[in-house]
Amino acid sequence: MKILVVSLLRIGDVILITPVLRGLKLKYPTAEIHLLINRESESIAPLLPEVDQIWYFDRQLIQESLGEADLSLAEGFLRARELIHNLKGQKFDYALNLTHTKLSGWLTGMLECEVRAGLSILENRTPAISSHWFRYLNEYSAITGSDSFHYADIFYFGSGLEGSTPAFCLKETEKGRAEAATWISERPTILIQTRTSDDKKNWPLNSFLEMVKLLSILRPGYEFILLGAPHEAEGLEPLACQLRQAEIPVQLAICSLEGAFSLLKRARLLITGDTSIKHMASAADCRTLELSIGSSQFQKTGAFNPHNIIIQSRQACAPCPHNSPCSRQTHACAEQIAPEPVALIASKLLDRDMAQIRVTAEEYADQISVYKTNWSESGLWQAISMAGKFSKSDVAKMIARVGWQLLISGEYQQPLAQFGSHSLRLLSLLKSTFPSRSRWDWLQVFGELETDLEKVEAGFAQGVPAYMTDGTIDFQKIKALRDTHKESHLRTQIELKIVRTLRLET
Amino acid sequence: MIETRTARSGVRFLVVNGKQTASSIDPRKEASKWAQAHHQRVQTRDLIIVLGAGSGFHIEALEQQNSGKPIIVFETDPEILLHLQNLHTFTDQVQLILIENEAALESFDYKQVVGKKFVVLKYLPSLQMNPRLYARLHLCLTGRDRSIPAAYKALLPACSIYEIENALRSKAHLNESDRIWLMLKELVK
Repeated sequence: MKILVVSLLRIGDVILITPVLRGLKLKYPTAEIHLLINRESESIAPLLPEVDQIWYFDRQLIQESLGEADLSLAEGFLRARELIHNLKGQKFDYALNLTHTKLSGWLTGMLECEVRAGLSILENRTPAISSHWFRYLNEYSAITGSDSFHYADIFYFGSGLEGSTPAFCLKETEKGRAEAATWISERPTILIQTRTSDDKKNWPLNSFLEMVKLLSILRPGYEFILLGAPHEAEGLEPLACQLRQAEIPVQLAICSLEGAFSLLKRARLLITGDTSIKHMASAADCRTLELSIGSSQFQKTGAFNPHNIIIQSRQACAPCPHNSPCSRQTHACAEQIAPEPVALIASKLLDRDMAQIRVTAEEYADQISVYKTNWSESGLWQAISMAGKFSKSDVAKMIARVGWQLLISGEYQQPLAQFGSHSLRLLSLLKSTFPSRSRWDWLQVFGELETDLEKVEAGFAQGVPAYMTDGTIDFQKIKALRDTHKESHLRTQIELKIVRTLRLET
Repeated sequence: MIETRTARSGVRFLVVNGKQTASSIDPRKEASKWAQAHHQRVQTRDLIIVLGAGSGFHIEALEQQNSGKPIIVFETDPEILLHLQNLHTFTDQVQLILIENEAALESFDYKQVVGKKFVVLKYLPSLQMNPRLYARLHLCLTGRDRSIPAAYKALLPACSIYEIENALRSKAHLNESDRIWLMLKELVK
């Protein structure tokens, strides 16, 4: 059996799909697994386990030939056609698209294989999406925001893999070990990756400086390593100099991804806002303090392992849209995260002292939101607020997430639907998230939510009109609208059942 | 009218209708700098296309800096090509092609270049002599002209990638080429 997995975004997204690669190898031990990634992500290739062959999409070269006036327009076309012909020649049995862009959809649609999963666009322009999880990703993930499932979970369960919790996996290389040996000392290490690929996601270097100064006082025995890619060296040198002047043991590690992974394997903690490095930390089992700034949506791409901490500012505009520049005069969401709480939380995270982290989170609750990552009882990743204020809407969001899960997984269709066990787990999660709430509080909020949902449910009875608002009849649109309506109705019914069960169990 | 003059460095260069096609001080040095300026763009390509033969020093410099890499030079003035024979002896690496007018532009066998990984370099002193024809030639070579040459038409079903969706709108079933172009359209949004 030959399987092709398509991941045509960035390095961080390639790491996100490593649980799928491992899961496929476990499910089909004799299968040959091929991976298609962008040439620009080539540096991650040596770290990828379970892959028999890697194919590259020359995105930048193709883009250049299409966009640069002095290059042949045909060159990009011929390059893409050659790749597609080579892939077709492999005669894959199964193509799994984990990218969900139109480009990847067209490409997957052109592969002649028996089974295709994920988005593929066919010759009659029809998009085909194989699983409810991918449908959720395609249609709802963008709008669900803070209730969204983690992409790694969506990819894993959407690929039809079950039975274990998805875990990131990368393999250490000799080159990486040798590179890391340059910086590793006897002292315990804290790694800091200050820069991200997007300026909007960067915490100011001065904040890093102050944070490290404070953390070095709290943790005198530790050594700090500033991680960076070769193109970041110039920008990081002044920070390293300033820290050395303050007599803080610090090294600047300008290294490859292989070197960075080996350093992560030996470090006690990583502090960063960067997506790729935090995913690598999850694969290396290195505890992570994530600074979620700008357009970073930790619900979808957060530090994936349990017992990590995520800090986000409480600015109303955060997270902002990916493709637009910061709308504020100053980078408010980054500036609102002060160095003090970051250093305090980092220090407590080294001790795994979640109780003290909660105290700090409560103390700085007017400026930052602090989340702890873990697996839910049903095996999905979640980030739980460490000092969340009790509100009906927060409880409603948590119920909605379980509703989505039951709907997507199809569990609600089982003769003995899992409302009871899911509701019990949810109740336990709610009580641990808001420990000071009394039974009376819970009964009251569940009662109110039940009433709200009943009103929504009644609204669905009115159905969908047989024509659009402008009076025209567009059968495709009406069908899509009816499908959405049916699905929303079903989700409301599921949520209603959960709330009723919660009330009974309280 | 074309005349030959001697530069301060001692080499001869061409003046076309009173306009110099190379430096009157040191054409070789100037050409070497020109070729060096394009070095990075040329390095990753398999074929170099030059628009304008000028006095030939820039071609000579490209030849020296990119040994073995084929160079195709397009010139619109046949007289310049005749004079060049007296000024330079190019190796087999260089192919000089005359495109005198629109008819020659239409009849040129674009298959020579369509599938190749090339870059077009413009030699400005030559381009100023016949800007319209060179501009069209540039668009035809890169497949970006509204009336695309046949060799490109076989590949590209619209007059530009930006119009590909409109061009294919009426097709119920797309062939592989159509689907590749629609895929690539996603990269130029």
